[in-house]
Amino acid sequence: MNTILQAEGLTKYFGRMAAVDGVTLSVREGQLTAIIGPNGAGKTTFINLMSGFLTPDRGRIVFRDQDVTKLPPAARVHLGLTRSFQIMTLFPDLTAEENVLLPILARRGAVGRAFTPYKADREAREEAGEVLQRIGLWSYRDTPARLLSHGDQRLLELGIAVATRPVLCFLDEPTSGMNPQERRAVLDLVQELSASRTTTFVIVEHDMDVVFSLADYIYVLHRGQLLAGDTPEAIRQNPRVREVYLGEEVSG
Amino acid sequence: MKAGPAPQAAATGAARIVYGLALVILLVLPFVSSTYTQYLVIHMMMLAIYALGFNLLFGYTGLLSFGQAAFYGIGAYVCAGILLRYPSLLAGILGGVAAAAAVALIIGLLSVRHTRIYFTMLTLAFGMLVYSVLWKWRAVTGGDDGLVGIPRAPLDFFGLAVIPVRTVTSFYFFVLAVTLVALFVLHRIVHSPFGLSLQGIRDSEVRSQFVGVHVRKHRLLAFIIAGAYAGLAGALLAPLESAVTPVISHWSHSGDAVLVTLLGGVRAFFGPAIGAVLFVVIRELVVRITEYWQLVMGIIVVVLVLGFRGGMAQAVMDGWQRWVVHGLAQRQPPVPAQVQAPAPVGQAQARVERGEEP
Repeated sequence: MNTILQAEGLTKYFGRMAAVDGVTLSVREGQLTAIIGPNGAGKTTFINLMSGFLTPDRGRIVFRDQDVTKLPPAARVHLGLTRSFQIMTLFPDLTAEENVLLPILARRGAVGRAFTPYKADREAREEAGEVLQRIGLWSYRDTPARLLSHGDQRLLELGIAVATRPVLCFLDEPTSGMNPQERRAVLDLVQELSASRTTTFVIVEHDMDVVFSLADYIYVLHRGQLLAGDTPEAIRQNPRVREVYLGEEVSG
Repeated sequence: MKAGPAPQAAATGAARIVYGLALVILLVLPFVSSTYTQYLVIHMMMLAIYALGFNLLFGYTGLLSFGQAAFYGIGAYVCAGILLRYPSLLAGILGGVAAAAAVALIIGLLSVRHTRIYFTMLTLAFGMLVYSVLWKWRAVTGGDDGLVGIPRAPLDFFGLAVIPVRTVTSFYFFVLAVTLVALFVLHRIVHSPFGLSLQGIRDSEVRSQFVGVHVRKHRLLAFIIAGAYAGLAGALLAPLESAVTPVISHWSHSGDAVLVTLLGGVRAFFGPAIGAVLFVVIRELVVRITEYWQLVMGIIVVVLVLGFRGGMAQAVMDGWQRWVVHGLAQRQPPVPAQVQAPAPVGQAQARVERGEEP
């Protein structure tokens, strides 16, 4: 399998504290990769660096043989690298359809068009319809995002991310605050999309059940440093990982 | 492809009737009214262009500019300067718009990297800068005397046709035509993919970046368009009044754009146009009683903002929603006013709003 993303010695300081400290890791195409670690391990900072939300103080990010370390988020999205957010960042006053339509229009280079109605862009709207059907929100397409239930908003969050048709998509705790039923729906969707091999997902999760049932490969961060990177089985057995983080949760 | 086609179609149909009626009134008005009324309506139309452009920034992109009067002033002065040397209305207007857009490009480049209060303060500062230049650069702008004796030059389509617009009535029709074109263009813009991207930026700047929208570039474009619209309104003022003075670019005139928009409604496309009509009417009525007309205007805006955050347009739409769409027969509780529905709400949606299971 090809490496599509490579982080080399990535470091980010907040004041004098290194939130991410010399992390080198790679993501292989089609491999559902999880990043785990205790609170404050630097997981979200790491995603922020990879997606361009923050710029690293040291190190390099190579995405599909291209150095993207300094690229702004929108430019990374056009290369096929995007993310979802842990704290909801939908377009609250836009309808569910418009929420997924915007990334589609942006990808198709249509957001520069200022004189034709977007509702007349049939191809883009059909694609938006497919995304909405996939995430199960077709019947809410005309509802403003802020009026959707929490679970539906999380589904829409995922829908916006996949509507950019990313090659690589970071998901920052996609199931946080969900009930088990909603959680199942999101995870099934991630698994389904991952299986279709168009998008590689890197998922940051708190819930160990989720991680071990879903991921093909797991990286463990601890205090900003990479502790281990291995298959779920090997991570389960890794004594250092047990020591700092998993403890009884895995052995039990 | 709509969820609740019935109410939406009814609303669209009603809106069409209202627009059609407004157009008929505007077309017939000069034949049945005094020159002074026509003069006031010209001012309403100019104010509508000014405020609609401002609302592309404010209501659609989420940027509160407090410097729109600068572009209004530049449009007016450049148009005046052209008309004093070369008597062609078209050249004056186009020159005024182009100059305003060019200055908006420069000020925008420096301002749109900031948002919220920082953006507002920057535009206020730049606005005051332009005001000082118009005030002090006596050789070009005439200083506090301004530019006077601006001719209401004929509309000269580069020698192909020459239409005189000397009378208030003929100028009225010219401004009406310009207003209709300006509104049509802006209506197309806000409903285009570009317009949707602006609303996305308003809702979430961060998310917009991560769906691949170049936020700063789109903000700059919106700023230039708003500047051009302010410039257009100003350029129409010069031949109407035959004089321009620095006061038109004072920050308080930037505030007028904000007031007019709040008065009419931020979230409805025609909100600022409704606000422009109300603004001129209220001013004309109150000024007859007291010179402190701004006090009355202020109170009205405060009441509207506190009561209906969507301004007059929202108040009307809420009323429509309450009494016509839901219908008295259904005996349903009305959609609460604080739910700022930008579009009429469908049945399923209304249920979601009330927190019921669909």
